[in-house]
This record gives sequence, C-alpha cells and structure tokens, in this order.
Amino acid sequence: MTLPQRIAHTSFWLSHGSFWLTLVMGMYLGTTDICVPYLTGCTSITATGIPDPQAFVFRGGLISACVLFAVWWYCMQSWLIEIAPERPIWTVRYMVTAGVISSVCLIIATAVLRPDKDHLPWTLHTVFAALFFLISLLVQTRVTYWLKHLKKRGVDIGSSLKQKFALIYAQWFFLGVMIVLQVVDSDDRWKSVVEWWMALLIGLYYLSSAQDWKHFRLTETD
Amino acid sequence: MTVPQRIALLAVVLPFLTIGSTYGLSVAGGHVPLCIPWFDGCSTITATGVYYPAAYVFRAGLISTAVIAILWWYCVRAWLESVGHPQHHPWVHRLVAFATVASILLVASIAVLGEHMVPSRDHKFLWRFHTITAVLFFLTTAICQIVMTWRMRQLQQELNIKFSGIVFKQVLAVLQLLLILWLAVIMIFDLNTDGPIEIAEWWLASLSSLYFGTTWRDWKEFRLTRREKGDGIHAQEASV
Repeated sequence: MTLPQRIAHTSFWLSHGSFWLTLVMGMYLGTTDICVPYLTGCTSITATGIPDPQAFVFRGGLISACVLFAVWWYCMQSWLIEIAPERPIWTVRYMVTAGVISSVCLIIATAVLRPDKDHLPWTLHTVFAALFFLISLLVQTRVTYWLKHLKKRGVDIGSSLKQKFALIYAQWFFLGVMIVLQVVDSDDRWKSVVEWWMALLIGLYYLSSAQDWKHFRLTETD
Repeated sequence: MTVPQRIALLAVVLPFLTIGSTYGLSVAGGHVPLCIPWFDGCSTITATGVYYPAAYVFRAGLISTAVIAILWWYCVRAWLESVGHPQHHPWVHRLVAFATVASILLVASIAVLGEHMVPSRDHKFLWRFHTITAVLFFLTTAICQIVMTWRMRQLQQELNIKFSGIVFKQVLAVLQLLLILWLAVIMIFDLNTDGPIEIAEWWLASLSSLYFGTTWRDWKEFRLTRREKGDGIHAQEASV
C-alpha cells in the first residue's frame, strides 16, 4: 500500500473508528441508548464525544484525523498536478488551503467539547462544525468536477469518479434536508440522522481516493 | 519553502505557540503563578492545559503537534533513505516506528487532560495515565533524536548538512541526554523538591521541539514529492 493510500484509509478509519468506538462506549456505559443513529438519530455525533471517558477517544482520534485530512488534500493536489496535462485552475490549486481551513474548523469544534454541558461554548462548536461540513463539501465538489473535466480530456483519473459524484450529490441532498429541518425547527433526532450521514459521506469521499492512488507515490522511497 | 521545511517549522512553532498561549491564559485565570518556568519551575507544562479555556488550546495544539511530529519523522526517514546504504533502511524504519508510537502516546496523554481531572486526588488513575504516557513520549522522542543525530553525523557529507547544523543537533541531543539522566537521579534518590522536575520538563519539551526545527535549514533542497522536485528544477533553471 502506498503512503497516499494509507493516508486515505487512515483519514476515514481514524475519524469514523473514533465515532463508532465512542458510540459503543456510550451504549456500554449507558449514556446512549442502544440504537443505530444513522436510522433513528438517537444521539448526535457531538453528544457521543461529550462525556468522559468517551471524550478521550473522541478528541484524540478526531483531532489527529483532522491533521490527516489536511495531508489528504495535499496528496490530492500533488496527484492532480502529476496526472494533469495542464496547470489546474486556481480553485483547485488552493484546495490545500481550503482543506486546511476546514480541518482547523473541525479541530476547534472538537477541542471545545467538555463534560459539563452547561459551560460548553455551543455557538463556537456549532459554527465551526458547520463550517467544516460546508467548506469540505465545497472543495470536494470542486475537485470532483475537475476530475470529470480531466476524464473528458482522456486523462487516467482512476475508477472512483462515479462514487465521488454519488457521495457529493448525497451530501448536497442532506445539506438541503438540514436547511429545511432548521427552517421548520424540526425534532433534533432528524438533524442527528443528517449529521451522521454527512460525516459518513465526507469520510467515504476521503476513502474513495485510495483505489485511485494505487500507483501514486508521494516520495521516491515510498 | 518546501513541504518538509514547512513541517519542520510547524513542528517547532506550534508547540511553542500552544504552550505559550496556554501558559498566558492560565496565568490570566489565576491557575498558575507568573514566572519564567524554565528557571523557576513554578508550574508544569501539564498545569497550563488543565483549566478551560486554556485546555481547549492545549489539546487542539498539542494533539495536532503530535501528528505533525509523525509527519516530521516520516520526512526524516525519506531524507535518510535518499542517501546511505540500503542495508540501514530497516534500522531507520524501526527507529521512526518507535518515534511514531511515542507521538501516539502524546495524543493519549493530552486527550485525557481537562478540568474534569480536578481535584487530582479523586482522579489518580487519569493522572497516572497522563504522567506515564507523557514520560514515555519525552523519553522515547529524546532517545530517537539522539540516535538520529548519530546517524545524521555518519551521513553528514551525503546529506550535505552544514557543520554548524550538526553541532547544533549534537548540542540539543547531549542536553536532552543530560536532562534525562538528571531526572533519573532525582527519581532514584528521591531528591524531588519543588522545581527540579518541572524545570527539566520545560527544558526537555523545548529542546525536543527545537530539534524538529533544526532540519528546516537542512531541508532547503530536500523535496518530498515529485511535483516539488519538478518545481525545484524549474526554479533552478529560471535562476540560471
């Protein structure tokens, strides 16, 4: 497995492994109902990472994963520049900057979580978590369309383009649902369902590149 | 600036900025006294990251630093393997693996910190966990840096490291070694009074962070990706 493939795998498994482990710990310790949050919205991602000791796993895993997300964007940019016959347009060239900004947003949103909910800076957490979702979706969408453009020009971009389009369309769908839920001030359970799916889709997008990066090496010794 | 240089710079700037700001916030909050901790030892590094809001900055900054340190070690591995005999590669791999495990221990050590650990007598297990993982991080990282310096010295010509660069690395490595020995003596002979361990902790953290930064100058010509290599060649051609 090449280093970029490892980055793609670790980005997904570290972030989602942390979510799932904290969820299972919450169920075991009785802080969360036994359920499938992707279907019932019985708990939000944030709620799984608030109480101790789940919070230790949550913040350790997710903050580390955020740094790897930034590295993933660097890999993506290097790969695109390597395979493309032309210099990418500026929105693609600045994807690492946007990717780093989205990662920093999630680091802030995660770092401010604390067990005493009454003192938790909820506005700060919500704004930065929302910024992470939004910026990630925008950059992932831009990159996917750039890959489509390259494919039209006959560049070998790997086999994940269809998956990537499915993932970003699904994310835009869930974003629309979330906006509607906010406008009608819906039950938190539905918002939690959307949150779990959005996070899963963003994570799967990072993972989807592993199959394209089979022959892409970041360093000569890789 | 090349990507490895940015990683080296971040690995030194991020921990200093993080600990500097958490110390400032903790002093402002009245949780630690105002002093020069490298000389007075009035506070541990950990104490600056226990109370909110300093704890937010502390965990965000230092967990990110730990992952950046792993990237730094990866760069070191690629750099050392770009020269030297291939028979030494497994040896370098093992060393970098140890250093990576040490950084993961730092993540674990920082992740448990927060105001929930106060009062300390009620959370002895968490404090013990934090202390053991932090000590293992410092010890392993320092030893890996010392061994790495020895290897870099062997490859000084091939890696084109300047004499002042290698001397600086050696000084940092030797100082870390002396600090570890000093800590061992304090522990073995139970000489702990207020101060010495705290002073050693601040110096050890500063020296190991500074060590990451020493490669900044060495990595001027070292490029991680082929794209960067291409850019470097183009830049050289343009300057010619």
